[in-house]
Amino acid sequence: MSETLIQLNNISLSYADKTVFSHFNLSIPKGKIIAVLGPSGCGKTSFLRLLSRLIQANEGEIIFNGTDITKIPERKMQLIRRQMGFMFQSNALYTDLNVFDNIAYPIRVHSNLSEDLVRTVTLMKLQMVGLRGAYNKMPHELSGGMARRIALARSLALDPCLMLYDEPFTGQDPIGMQVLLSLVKRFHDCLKMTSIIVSHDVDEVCQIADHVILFESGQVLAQGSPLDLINSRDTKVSQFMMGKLEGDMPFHYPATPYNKDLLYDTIAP
Amino acid sequence: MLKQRQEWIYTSVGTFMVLSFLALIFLIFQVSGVKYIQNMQTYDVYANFNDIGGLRIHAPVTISGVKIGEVYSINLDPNALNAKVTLRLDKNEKIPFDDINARIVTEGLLGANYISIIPGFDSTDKSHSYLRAGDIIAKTQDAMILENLIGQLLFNAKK
Amino acid sequence: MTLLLRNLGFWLLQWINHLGLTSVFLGQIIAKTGWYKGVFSDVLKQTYNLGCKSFGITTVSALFIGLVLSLQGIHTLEKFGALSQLGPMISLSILREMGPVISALLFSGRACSALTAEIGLLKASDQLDAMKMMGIDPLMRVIVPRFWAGVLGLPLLNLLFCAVAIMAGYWYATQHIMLDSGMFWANTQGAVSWQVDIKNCMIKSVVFAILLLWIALFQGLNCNPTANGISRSTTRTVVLGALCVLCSDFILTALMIGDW
Repeated sequence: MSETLIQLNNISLSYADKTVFSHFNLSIPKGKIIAVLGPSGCGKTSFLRLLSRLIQANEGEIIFNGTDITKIPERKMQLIRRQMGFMFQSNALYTDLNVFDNIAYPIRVHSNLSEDLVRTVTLMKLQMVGLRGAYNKMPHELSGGMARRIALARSLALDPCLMLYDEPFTGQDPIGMQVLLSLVKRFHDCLKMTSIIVSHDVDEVCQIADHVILFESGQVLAQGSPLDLINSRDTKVSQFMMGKLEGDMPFHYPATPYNKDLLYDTIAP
Repeated sequence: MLKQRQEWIYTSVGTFMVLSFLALIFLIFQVSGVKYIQNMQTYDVYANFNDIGGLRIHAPVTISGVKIGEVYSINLDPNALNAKVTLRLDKNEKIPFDDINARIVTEGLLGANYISIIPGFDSTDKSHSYLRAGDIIAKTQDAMILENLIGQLLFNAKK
Repeated sequence: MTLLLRNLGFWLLQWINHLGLTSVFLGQIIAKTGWYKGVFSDVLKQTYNLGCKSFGITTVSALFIGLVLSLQGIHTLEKFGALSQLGPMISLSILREMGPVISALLFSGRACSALTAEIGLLKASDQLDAMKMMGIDPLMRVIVPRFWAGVLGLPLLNLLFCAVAIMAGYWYATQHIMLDSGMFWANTQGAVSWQVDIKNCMIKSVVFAILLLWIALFQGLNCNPTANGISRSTTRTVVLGALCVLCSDFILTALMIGDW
């Protein structure tokens, strides 16, 4: 039941002066809703971008359904990306096109369906997110919640087998958040796909997640079912899951004690 | 994309291209005067000069000031060591061949050089009355070299 | 001293790297030119954005440049009694230099800056990444149509510029100083040769178009995805574009001067 969809082996990634991942290993089980949690700056967004190869790792391999996606050429990666859906934090809707054309765009590009069929499929996707009446609006006329749902519909336009969500619940009102949660769960069950959600909303995500992975500074701190992590006796894990202020997770960045000598270094000639 | 906007885009781009094409036609025909030679049938005749002065290729060939052709090429005749000029003329006019004269003249006083042909009389030799392809114009007059003229003037003034 | 040399060497290597990067970019654009469903309507829409919308500024500028050239020409040539050469003077200066260069500079300021800003904004709002995620190559579908639309549009604008400027000069000369129109056109036709002048004018325009669009698209794609970054890229497009146009104009004129 839980075979591995994606296997990351020995991944190392570093930007100009900052190492994000170093000898990182992880396996993503198939068919589950996986929540990726962690404090800011621990590499969650880089993780998602690595999976879709929007950025390349310095070393290591990522095996997706048997193919190592770090080594294949860009053209083959385009074919694999059609099986993935990505929902951006900023929605990234095409601002020149209206809602209907936004969702119809991937369908028109990747299939040879006639305009009638494209229209049917697009309206069906819009109906699934409950926004069929908004098909004529431009993206800048939409409210935040509506734009989120349109972005969701667009990522699902090609019925992917893997969905990647980059902080989908930020800035949503409570009702909107519940709507999105129920939509994510419903699509996951209907389309029998794997969903990876990166989020900060611990309570909400744990309502629907099957498997939770907790990151910290580029390493996996803990993983398991939501209940396991909430009841964990590891102080760092419980500090994060309960949202406590005091604990092992450092408050200062960089987490070094304040040294009076540093002050004199800058003033002395 | 609304249909009207799509139509407007097609119309504008089409108009833009038509206007540019018209501009090109204008530039070709009105500004650079492509009317001569390229469209008409032509034939080549030759003339030998001792000194062509500032004559260049594409200089006009005229009769009584009317352009009937242009200079096609200028070569050095290896035997006689003078300039052999090829004139490319329109097939329209018939130019009497007998006693034909070709002169190199200057436009104004300091202008460019061109060739003026003074046609001959109606010939008694009926077989070769008009200029035809391959003919060599025997009587030629060289370009007027300004330095020689000034030298002559000074020489005469000294006397 | 060694520090200075080291910095100079580093700067030179960086510059060579940058040049290589931009050349690879141009090669990618040309390599990825291909057919996809709806390519013609994309190119058409971009020709509208780049070419048709610059129509106004190009023709109005051409009008005034033709008038000024005519005015100055009359004023100077009158002193030498060489008013018969007004036609060739206007036509040749426009066709050989002012037409291609000024229409390229106007195009750079109007169309290329807009292009850089648009692509910078597409990049900053993740729309290019979203396209990549759908398995659509943004280079092929966003950059390449704009490139060929510009390479098509600038030479056409150049033709319009030359024609309008020459006609404006002619109009001024014949209406205001009663110059003989026959003399104007006869001398012009004698001086302008279409194989040489008009052909070289178009070659210059195509070269300028390729340079300007290459710079604009590269700056747009490689800008910092912030507000400040986009504004700096846009100004860099205009400045760098203008310098490249003027420099390549000199090089092209030096190569073409044999024809003239």
